[in-house]
Amino acid sequence: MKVLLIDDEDDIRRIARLSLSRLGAMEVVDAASGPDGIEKARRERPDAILLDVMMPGVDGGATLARLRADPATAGIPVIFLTAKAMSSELERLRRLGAAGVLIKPFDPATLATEVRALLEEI
Amino acid sequence: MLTSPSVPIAAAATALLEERLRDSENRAQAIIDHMLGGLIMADESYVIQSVNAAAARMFGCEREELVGKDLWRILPEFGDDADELQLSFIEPEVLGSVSEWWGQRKDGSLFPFELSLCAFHYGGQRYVAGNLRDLSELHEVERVKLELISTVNHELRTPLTSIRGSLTLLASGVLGEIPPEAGEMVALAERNCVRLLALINDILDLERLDRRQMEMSRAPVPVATLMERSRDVVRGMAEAQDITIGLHPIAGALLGDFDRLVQVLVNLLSNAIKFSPAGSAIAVSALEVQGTIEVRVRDRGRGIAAAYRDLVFERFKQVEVSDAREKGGTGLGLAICQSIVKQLGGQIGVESEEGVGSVFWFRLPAATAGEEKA
Repeated sequence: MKVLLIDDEDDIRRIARLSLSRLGAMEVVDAASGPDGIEKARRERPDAILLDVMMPGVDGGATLARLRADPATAGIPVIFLTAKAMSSELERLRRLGAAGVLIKPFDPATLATEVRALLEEI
Repeated sequence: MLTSPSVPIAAAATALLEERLRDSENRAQAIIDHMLGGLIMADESYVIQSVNAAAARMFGCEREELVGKDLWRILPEFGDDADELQLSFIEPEVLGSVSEWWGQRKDGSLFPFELSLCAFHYGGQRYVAGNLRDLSELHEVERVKLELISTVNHELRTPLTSIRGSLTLLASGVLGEIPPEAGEMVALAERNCVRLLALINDILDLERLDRRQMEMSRAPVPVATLMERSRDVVRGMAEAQDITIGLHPIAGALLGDFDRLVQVLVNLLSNAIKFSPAGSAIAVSALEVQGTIEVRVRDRGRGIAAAYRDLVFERFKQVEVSDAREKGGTGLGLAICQSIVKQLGGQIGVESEEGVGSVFWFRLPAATAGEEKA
């Protein structure tokens, strides 16, 4: 399984990458911004995208909209990563068309399992 | 020529009385002028009769500029409509109570102030006197506090999250085996990191609750679902101490916010687990009392002495100083529970017997049948 991870924080990307690859046996591609992520999604055709909500410039919501607008990436399931755990925020993100929402800080020990569980629900 | 001695005596007495009266008035005026708080006096038509120096300073003008003005001119909340202001002055409960207002300075800028009103009669006329306290500085302090909390939220939580994540990965062994002693140190660092994150989250929660910015919906929360979901959250923690949690729900639902109520019950259950002897049982039950539902968490822990029972809901209060260290709590959990339950219109409390155990309970309005279907 190939996962694209889009998050502007380097440390978070490194931890999530290790967690997904070592504990979840996933192939991980990462991107530090929305535009970079969109480009990599087109090129790499991942099975799923983990997308940070709060990013400078093109944020998670706008990135998802652009991914959906492009037929090449429109069908890729997107899971949001957000630090805001309020139910209205989670509901808002789901309405944007996300396959699921994971709360930050995520637990690296269970991240891969949670990603798989969300993808199975689709 | 003989004159009556009483005339100059009466004149002298009057002069003396007048002098005393002047002295007394001067003294009162001097005190009023040098007060730190503002004082504004208006007649019954709400025309300003006098102001002290502090009040003039607050409104950024000279005293003379305020005297003779309509009171509501400097209270922009009322615009051109003085009716509401007049009504509020007439209401007897307003007199003596303290309320917050916005005032308008001469330059048009607004400032918050606190007002306490009293009414009195003088020379057959009714007057209103307002005691004012400028709240600009207090509001500024509040703003700085919120900014600091926001900084704590982002700048402290982000690096801590990375530290915790790295430690979790190290501890999991996926990055290679680490020597047992190093493993112990990694586990210790991870534990403390989790504790620090929990503390930060609790402080942020309390802050949001204080400002009433924590989102709270009011929907029927089935008692059984609430109990099951909360037990799921603490299952691992209970199993680690060989503690069983028995659920005894009733049919029916509480009226509240599901996520927040899970937070409350999880908190009460975590506390019960922390203070329960290994191998013991915790019972979660519910009962309906006069339109409310009470949820009770009973443990077989050491109990709480009567003197501490009210204190446990206060911030950073733990019965034993060593509890925060040994039991890993932040000392904020019960304060958060209390805030949530109160904001949902309920009550929370504890019954306890030393050496026997404690029952922590919370009570909220029961959802009616109509609401449950909704």
